[in-house]
Amino acid sequence: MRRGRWGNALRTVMPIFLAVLLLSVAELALEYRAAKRGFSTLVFSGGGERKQTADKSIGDAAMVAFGPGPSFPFRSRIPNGDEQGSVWICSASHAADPRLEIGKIFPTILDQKLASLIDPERVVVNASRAGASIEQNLEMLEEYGLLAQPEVCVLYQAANEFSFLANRSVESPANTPIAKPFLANVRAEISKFGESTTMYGRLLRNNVTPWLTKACPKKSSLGEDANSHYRSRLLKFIKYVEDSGATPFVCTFALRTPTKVIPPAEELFYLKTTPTMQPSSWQKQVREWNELIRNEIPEDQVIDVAAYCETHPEWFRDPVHFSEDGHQAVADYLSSELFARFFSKQ
Amino acid sequence: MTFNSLDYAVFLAIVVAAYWLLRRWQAAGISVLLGASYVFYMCWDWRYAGLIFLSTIVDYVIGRLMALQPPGRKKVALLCISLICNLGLLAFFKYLFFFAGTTASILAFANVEVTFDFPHFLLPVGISFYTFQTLSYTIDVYRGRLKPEQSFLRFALFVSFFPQLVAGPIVRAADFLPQLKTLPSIRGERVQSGCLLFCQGLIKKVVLADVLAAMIVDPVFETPGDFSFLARMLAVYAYAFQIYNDFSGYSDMAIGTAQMLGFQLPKNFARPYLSSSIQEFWSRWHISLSTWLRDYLYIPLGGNRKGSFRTNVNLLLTMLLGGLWHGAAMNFVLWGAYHGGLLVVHRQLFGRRKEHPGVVSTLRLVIGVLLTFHFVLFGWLLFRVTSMENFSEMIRWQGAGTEQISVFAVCWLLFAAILHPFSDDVLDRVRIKMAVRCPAVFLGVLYAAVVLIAVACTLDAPSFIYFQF
Repeated sequence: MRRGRWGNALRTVMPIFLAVLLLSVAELALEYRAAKRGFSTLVFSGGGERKQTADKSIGDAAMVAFGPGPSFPFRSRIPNGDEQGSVWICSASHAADPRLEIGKIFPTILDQKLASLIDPERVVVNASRAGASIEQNLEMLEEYGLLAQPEVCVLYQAANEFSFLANRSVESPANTPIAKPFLANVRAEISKFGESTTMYGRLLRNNVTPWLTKACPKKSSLGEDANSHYRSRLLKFIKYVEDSGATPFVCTFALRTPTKVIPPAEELFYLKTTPTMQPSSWQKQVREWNELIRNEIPEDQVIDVAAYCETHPEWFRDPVHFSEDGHQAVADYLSSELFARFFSKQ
Repeated sequence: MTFNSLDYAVFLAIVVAAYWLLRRWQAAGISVLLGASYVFYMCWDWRYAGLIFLSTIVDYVIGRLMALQPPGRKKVALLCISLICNLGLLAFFKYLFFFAGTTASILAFANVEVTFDFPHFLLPVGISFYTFQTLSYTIDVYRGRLKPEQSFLRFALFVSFFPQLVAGPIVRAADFLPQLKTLPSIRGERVQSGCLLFCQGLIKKVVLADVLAAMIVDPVFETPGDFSFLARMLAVYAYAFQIYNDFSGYSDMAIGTAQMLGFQLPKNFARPYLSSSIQEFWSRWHISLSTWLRDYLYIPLGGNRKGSFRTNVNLLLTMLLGGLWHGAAMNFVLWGAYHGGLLVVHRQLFGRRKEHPGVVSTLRLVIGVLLTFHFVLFGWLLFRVTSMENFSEMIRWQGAGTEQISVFAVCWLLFAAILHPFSDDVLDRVRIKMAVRCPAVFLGVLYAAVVLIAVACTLDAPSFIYFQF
């Protein structure tokens, strides 16, 4: 039987079509699995962040007042503007923790604790977003701070500053010419699409690639300017908060394994975020930064979360993120510290 | 837009589909490919597309005018105009800063202080490749070996054909233009064979070249002092396989892409590290460049027709310019001179001996291969270093470096080395058999697996090495 022109063309593209189909089916299956686990994916609702899950601990009525929403992009109780002052938490995934229900992350627990201890009208705003740096925390404070009139701002940041410094590219000299690509936006969108697929972004890049990066020689330190960079960010945060009439608190950063020997599974975690750095340099640098906070920030503005968590590896689900128990413990600690240092003096 | 990116996959799918639909109308098919080639180039920097267009216009017009002239001064003058325009553009964009810097350094010896304050601009990607391509056309027309192309569209596509535009293989007009006169038919097995060749190139680039670069080469060459002498030597071995897999991977992807569109591009590599002499190495490494240099530089200089001394000078000069073609830096000049020197020595020692493969003993062959490989390795060291300080650090015997190369990385290097001897002919036959006989489902699974492997192995690697040339 003679095949027509279209028949031949179909036969020619069939293997490529099948490959695309196979990859699409695998992608959809993985996205479905991710969606069942509570994540929003490329196909199953947009955004790339975890879906708001119903939280039995708070109840349906309370859920209405919780973000993220279009006008309030945080996993937090939304202030209604009538508050007498709020506690503003500046952090990243450590506080936003999209893997846990909203009622189980420490800012929400802290909110409930302070409400029962001091005043139900005081709200704890969890202005934390996964991947945010201190600079971005300040931008968010500037943009959304008026909504909540914060009287206390708590900073819990180190991991993303480390990643920022480790992954920064070498700056080109000022006179280096820059290429002007055609269709740059379209190509950026295509790349973004590829990055946001579950298979590419999460499964392969997080589970296979680190095994290769593990074999690469890595830098043992961030360089001489790491401490001055962190110091300048902390001081900028403190100055901004004080200038806006609130009281700043800076937390030391807690790690699950504050020892020199890092288990292999933890090494892979560090390599995912900073493939060019030795995992031990994380520990070393964060310890240095914690010392910097203890020694250089006024004592009454320091909350030593790292010391509090040091003997409790069970409070972490990975090297830097808290487990359910960890969130509970940190909330307890923060509420007692804030009460003792600020609210009891009012 | 590099071949190992998602945007290229989308671009290629659109171009192939549009070309397949329109190729029945020759002008439409060529227009699609020409438009796609300019879009591809402008995705790097749209401002530099004008340079290719200028080069195209100049050589098209000169080619047509040459055909009207009898041999004589006017024809020579036209050839000179083409050479001045093409080499002038290349000299200006690629060598201006190098020559200015070298002149300033030489004058500084004579206590004359000169500073050249030129505005900074980007080196146009692929300028060395398309300049050589257009030059070969003009010279062939001048020599009467090629009739000038009548169609501007066809000629423009010959200059800018996107699969080989930025890093070769350097295509001769006599090989490519006839393919454009009657657009080749698209056959399923050729498309599959092209896809498989593309996959082979992708694996070479992403799995071998980039991983070797990240695991061994880049860290060691960046801070040689942190590594032991052994680790530094390993890095040179790794670089040899990185540059081979990077460039031959690119060539495979270029040839594979062209095959998907029905075109045939020349082979660029033939297991170069199995060469038993340096002369053989240059007939297996970057074949399209070495044959170009032979036909348009070495032979016009006199080749081996004017006595032993002139032959040696011609060899040295050709390789020196070949080195300079790779980049405007002293290490490339040294690399070219080094290879020229090796060719001269080889010619002096073995030039008159007629070698018959049947007579050559296995031992002599093995020793020849090992020696040639290690001479080439030293050349790669010159090629890769960033400065003379970097070079001296790399070859320093002592070193208190504490950084280690992982066993996993060494295994990866061995893996790359073991793959090298696989004959291209065998691979070609396997690929063609697979394209013809394998069921679509098997090929589909294979392509999907290649995509996943490429994604998993993609480290934050730079672009292809040969893009900078």
